[in-house]
Amino acid sequence: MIRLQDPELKPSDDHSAWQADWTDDERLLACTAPGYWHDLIRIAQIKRLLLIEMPPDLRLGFLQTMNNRVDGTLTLEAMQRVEPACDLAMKMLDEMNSLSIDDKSRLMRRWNVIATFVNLNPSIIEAIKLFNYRHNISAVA
Amino acid sequence: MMAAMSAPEVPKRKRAKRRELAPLEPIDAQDGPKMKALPSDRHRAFVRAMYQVKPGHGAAVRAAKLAGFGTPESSPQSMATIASRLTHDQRVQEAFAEEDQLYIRASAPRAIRSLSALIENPNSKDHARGIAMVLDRVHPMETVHNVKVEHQAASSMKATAEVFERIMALAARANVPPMIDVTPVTPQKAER
Repeated sequence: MIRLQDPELKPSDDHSAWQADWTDDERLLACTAPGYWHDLIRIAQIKRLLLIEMPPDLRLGFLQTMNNRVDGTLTLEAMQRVEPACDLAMKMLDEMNSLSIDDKSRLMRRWNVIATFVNLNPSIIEAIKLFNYRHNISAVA
Repeated sequence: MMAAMSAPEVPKRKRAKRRELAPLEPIDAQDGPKMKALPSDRHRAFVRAMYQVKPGHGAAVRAAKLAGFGTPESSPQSMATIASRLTHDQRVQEAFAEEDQLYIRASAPRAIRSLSALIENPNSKDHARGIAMVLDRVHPMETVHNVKVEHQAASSMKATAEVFERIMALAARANVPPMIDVTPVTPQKAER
């Protein structure tokens, strides 16, 4: 369970206090680059879309897009660990479709947004645990 | 009076006899199809007269009179009615359009000659315009049209064996069910 920030944008002192209060999952999420948050949510979305019938070329395109997300950090095991997105998460993603790519990326970097997605789909945090980090997260903590 | 009496009489100069006009060479000029389609020679004469009378108010009436329409007793109102009916006749208007083309094309050599004279005269105020006109026609300015074609690709890829295999491999790699119940299209079916 990832706790939401309330209010989301805290003053410096409150922010430091909030950081000190992190759980292990929250620390792991906070130390993961927001770009990977976005990738994991997209993987969950694609896995959900692949559950419906679609033309073979479209299915192949989705599968290729999902497999292309795998790199040195986001491992194959992490990609496999992500579960399909639920109805509410899909609705949230549909709402974001009308935004520009900049606004979408800006929104996806917000703590409360990724916290909501992770709470709806806990496999995202499990997938992050399978990331191949070059440095030790615990050392940062 | 004295001066008039003393002035010598100047003999009246006799005019030379007019030279007889040589008969015209037969010119095989023919009217266009629209002129030929007019109902009478008077109609054809009316169309030609419209290009010869002084333009302005009453030009159509003058052309109708020249073409032989009306009688010497016809009132101006009658002649105006005749001229109006002639100019608004569909066949006559089509003949006008045909003659317009002929007159414009026939004017082209003179226009070109005038244009040549214009570009030879640097003192003319339209000298530069004349040069530009010629150059525009000899070396037309290049215009580039950028046409953006948006094509929405339809789902055209057939479920060939190769696509099927690729889907199965990627689905297995991602640990997701392939969920594809189409059978691969055989080469014979794919060709259709």
